[in-house]
Amino acid sequence: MLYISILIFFSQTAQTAEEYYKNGEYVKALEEYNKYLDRGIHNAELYLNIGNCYYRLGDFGKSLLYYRRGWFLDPSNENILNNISLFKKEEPNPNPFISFSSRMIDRIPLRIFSYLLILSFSLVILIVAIRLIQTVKLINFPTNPLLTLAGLFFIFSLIGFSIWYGRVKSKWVVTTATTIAYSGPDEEFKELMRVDKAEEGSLVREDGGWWLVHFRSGEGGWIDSTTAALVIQE
Amino acid sequence: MVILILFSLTFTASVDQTTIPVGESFNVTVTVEGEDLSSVGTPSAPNVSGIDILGSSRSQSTQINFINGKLSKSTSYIYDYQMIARNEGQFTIPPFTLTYEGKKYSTDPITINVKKGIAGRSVTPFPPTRSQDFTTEPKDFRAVFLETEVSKSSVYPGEPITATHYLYVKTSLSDVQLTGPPTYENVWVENIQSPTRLNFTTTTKNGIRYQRSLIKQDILFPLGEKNVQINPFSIEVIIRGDMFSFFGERKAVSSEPKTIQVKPFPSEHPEGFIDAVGKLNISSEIDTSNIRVDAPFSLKIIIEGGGNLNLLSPPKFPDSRKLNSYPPESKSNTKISGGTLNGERIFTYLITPKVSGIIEIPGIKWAYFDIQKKTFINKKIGPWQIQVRPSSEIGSGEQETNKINKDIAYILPVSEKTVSLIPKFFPLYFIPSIIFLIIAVYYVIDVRKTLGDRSYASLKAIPKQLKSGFRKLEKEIHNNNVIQFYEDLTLVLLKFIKLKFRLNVFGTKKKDLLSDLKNKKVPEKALNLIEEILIKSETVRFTSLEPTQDEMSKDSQKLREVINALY
Repeated sequence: MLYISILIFFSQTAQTAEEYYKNGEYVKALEEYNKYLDRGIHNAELYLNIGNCYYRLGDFGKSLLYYRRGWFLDPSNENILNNISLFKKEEPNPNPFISFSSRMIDRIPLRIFSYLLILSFSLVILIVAIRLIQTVKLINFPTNPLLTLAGLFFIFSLIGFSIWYGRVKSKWVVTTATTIAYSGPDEEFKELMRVDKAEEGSLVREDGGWWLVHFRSGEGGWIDSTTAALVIQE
Repeated sequence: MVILILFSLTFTASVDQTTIPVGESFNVTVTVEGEDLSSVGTPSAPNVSGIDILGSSRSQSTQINFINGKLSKSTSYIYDYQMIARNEGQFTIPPFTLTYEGKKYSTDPITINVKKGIAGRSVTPFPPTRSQDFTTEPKDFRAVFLETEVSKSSVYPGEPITATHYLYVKTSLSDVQLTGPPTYENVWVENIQSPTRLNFTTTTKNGIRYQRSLIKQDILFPLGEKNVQINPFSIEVIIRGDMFSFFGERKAVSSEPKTIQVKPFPSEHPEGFIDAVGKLNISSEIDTSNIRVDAPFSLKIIIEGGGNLNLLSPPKFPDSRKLNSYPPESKSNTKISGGTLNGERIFTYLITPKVSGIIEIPGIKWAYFDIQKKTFINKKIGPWQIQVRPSSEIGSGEQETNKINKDIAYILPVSEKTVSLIPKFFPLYFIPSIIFLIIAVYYVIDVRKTLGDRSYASLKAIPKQLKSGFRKLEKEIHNNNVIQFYEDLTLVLLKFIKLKFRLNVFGTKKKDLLSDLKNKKVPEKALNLIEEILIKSETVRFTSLEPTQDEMSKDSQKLREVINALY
């Protein structure tokens, strides 16, 4: 009964949020979508919709922030990729092998790589164990080729996992508003650059309410932490 | 007529008639004329024994002349003194005197003849007095006095006080001039009324009937905690004379100063209190229609109700790194009623966003002191959430919006599922594999301990030996090399038995070998297979029997069965 009530509640909320969005009432739609987040629900579609609301409101920084959060959960989601591509046109790697590998890895989320890593590791361990037992008991099992395949599978999973885990741990930052980068953690320091909204970078250090951010462009500086947000907060 | 000309000032005195009946009033006109007489004083009237001054009036005229291209301005002050002679005879009115810019001017004396005639005019019942200041008289007997009435004697800072200034008389006046208007210290003044004409009404004060007229009424708002001072104000009056002193007398009258105590607030100021006192409310209006980076928009803070509205300081706009704010413009729409100011005060803040996005302007805490409740009332307005669009110069936000509106993907149905970045308890998934590996390692170690080092070394060598042996056998089946196949078949079998059971198999008779294996508790089935393989090999090697490739394969399979059973 309780489960049914919860389902009815969420279906009503979703319906209301979509109706608000379609009627152009984006702030109200946002409020409804945020109720999902308050309930601990996280999925790519939810983040896409929140990003769309912010975009309609003209808050491009927050829009990219939520698209990125959705991208982390489902990097193969074509809608999210389409919307992110409107912000950033990523240059393909000149090395075709790396470019192909990179694209392939970028399409598989960290969650899947985690499962692949568990599976490949288990296979490798299983084959190694059989190989070990074969030293005392005759087991007719082609351990060598299987161990090679399992090893390659494990290496691929490990690379993919490492890349995605590195992205999570890199403290990926999106500026949610136009801000100014200074040479130190205060407005009294020299102004280095004006950072447009929806600029991406990584958080290097924190000092009070200031973040030292290294932007994708290669530049960096101290920005007011209230003008940026971490894509992955925890 | 006497004319005295000294430098640019002309000071003259004249009389309208030189022969006057006893008791009849006559006029003495004193004229002060000259250029730039803005600071000239009032002439002093002489005292004449037998002649009383009933009163005086002053008039002023200004004449501007343009002569030979030069502008000149001439001002005349004319003082008319109404006098009356009480006794018959010849009288000399002494000179009127005037001090101007440090110099003393005098008119010539005037001689008049007073003869018997018809006395004539009604005068006030009060005899004229020579006193220059009525305030020195006993209060109950004062004919003219000024008094300031205040609505409160003790107030809090900012609490309104009504100050009303009255003129009390119990005589007839022919002229009243306000020479020193009411002034105050440590207050903000809002004037309620300042009548241009005196309007006397009858009133009783201390049991005595007076004619009272309002001079001025103000509302005072104390500034800070200093006591309010109401300074004396003064008038000059001319009291009409009676039938015996028809001309009246000029008198200077001053009020008494007053002090109103300003007491400190009964409790500590709360956060947000600046100087608002009364019964007030605060609200806000913000124009959020089109807010862009670096473009100003307005936030109106409206304080309405009754209190020191015109005295209010603007609420402190909260500091924000994302916004620039400027000192607010202030506009009042107030009127006086009920002893205080009522209406609204509007502070308009101009704010310029420095960044785009959804910005929250922090709320403003504001407090006022409620006079009736004698306590501070806390209020809060805001916070305000505003959507700041990028300026057209930065980031081409408008173009980007259009582009997105065209290309943005539609929203998708949202499910209730929660997708996590990494599976919960991720490291725990590795534990089963590791446990399996540990078990395998433990098993191998256990086997090794059971066999001993040499047996383990022999056992470890078996797979390698068998592997190469079976590879060789398969090759010989393929080549149909029958003799060599059976020789190798025997060799692989004996090597296996040697390594497995550590028996000296080479040079041992078949019967003894089988007996030794039986002693090693080799199963009967395996023993039979071993015997079959050995017999078949001997038969093929020493007879003309030539088995087919299928038979060779079957014998190879028998060897595998033996090894699998014994390994």
